[in-house]
Amino acid sequence: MASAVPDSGHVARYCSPLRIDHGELQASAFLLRRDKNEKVLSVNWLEKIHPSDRAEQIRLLQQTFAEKMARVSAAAEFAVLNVGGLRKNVADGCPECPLLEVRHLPKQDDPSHSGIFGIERDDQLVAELLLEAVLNHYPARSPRL
Amino acid sequence: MTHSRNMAVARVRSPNVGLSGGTRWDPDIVPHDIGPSGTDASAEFVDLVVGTPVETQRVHIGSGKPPSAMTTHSYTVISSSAATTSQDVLSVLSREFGNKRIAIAGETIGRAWDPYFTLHGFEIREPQSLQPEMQAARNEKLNLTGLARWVTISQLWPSLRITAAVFGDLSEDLGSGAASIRGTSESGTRNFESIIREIAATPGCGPAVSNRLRELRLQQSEDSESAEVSIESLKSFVAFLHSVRGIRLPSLSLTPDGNIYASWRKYDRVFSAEFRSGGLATYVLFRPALGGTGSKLRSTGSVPAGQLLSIPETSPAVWAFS
Repeated sequence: MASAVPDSGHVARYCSPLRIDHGELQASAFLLRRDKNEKVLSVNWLEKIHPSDRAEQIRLLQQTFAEKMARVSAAAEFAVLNVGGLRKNVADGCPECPLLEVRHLPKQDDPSHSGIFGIERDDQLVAELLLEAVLNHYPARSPRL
Repeated sequence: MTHSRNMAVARVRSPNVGLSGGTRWDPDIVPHDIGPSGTDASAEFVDLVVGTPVETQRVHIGSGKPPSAMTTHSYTVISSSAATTSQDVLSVLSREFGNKRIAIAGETIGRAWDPYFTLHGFEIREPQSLQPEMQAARNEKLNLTGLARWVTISQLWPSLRITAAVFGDLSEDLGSGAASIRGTSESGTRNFESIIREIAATPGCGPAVSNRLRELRLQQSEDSESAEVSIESLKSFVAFLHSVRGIRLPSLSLTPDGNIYASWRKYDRVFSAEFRSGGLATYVLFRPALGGTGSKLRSTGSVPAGQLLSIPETSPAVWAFS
């Protein structure tokens, strides 16, 4: 059973440039891929990478993505959200939606990989609410990579 | 010259396709060999003049097509200009008919449909799949004429008004059903670039929107993990653009499925729409509750894209207009 990421934790969502307009993140970054029947939104648990140093978390996450993806666009970004914050925002904004859960789903090439569960229903509304909960965003590609 | 008995002659001018002030309709260049074997005998023909008819070039269409139970309306283009493309004609029709109301099927003789080839002919017809609904609409609404927006066309060709009016009614009566039929009837006949050109010609934010969509397509081609831009979604987006005037330029992005996602934001208000296949759009609307309580009202829904901002539920998003 995948362990739950605590509410105090933070997750980063990789956002393709297709989901960013003039530097502004769009809710489409938090939509599931329906044609592939996705049910879980992939994120990365930052405290699993480093306990507290945000710069180090992002640097190592950039490295992980550079290794696992064929190409990371210079315009791609990581959107950072607090787990408790995102869950509360969605619960408040969509009381009829199931309470979201964030679970750690490590992969061999991506040890901090995690997933947000409970999005399928009202996915567009949830995506907009997740966008509201974004705390900050960072380049997904290091200038040095 | 003898005109076919069923032929109606008319002229539609397009300022977008290079008509000069001296262009004149000449009945002597009306094609005289329409309607032989292979062509729908019940069809009525009308000539659409696009470009300057210095030299007459026309090729009839409809050859080999089985006569349809529905009336097939065929247009023949008379043009001397190799630069006259089907897109030019579509542009004329879009204005005349409101593109979302009708199905346009196009073909060139001996070639696959391509908006960049010189157009030889095309036809407007009711999609086969609409036949039961059309008949039902006719049975229930015998008086399908009289819509003011078709007056111009009806002066040219009265029977066309009936067809157009039926589609207009169906758009309202059948809702998403009518929208999905549009998608079906046009499938395979339009590609990304032809739709983008149509968007670029849309007044207001059309040029900026088309640039952004081209940018997204370029980015998508470099992103192996993302789905291609959905043509069906683009068609829905076009239906929306044609249904509104003075809309502000939205933020545009692609969903993981390749659908167009448009967002308008103003202060703490959000109106976002995902344009899906079948002429549908799903929307999310956030706005502050009345009374200064600080709480927000949030609503979602699914509507035919052409009615996205014309239903009561989305009327609070009037700020999306400039």
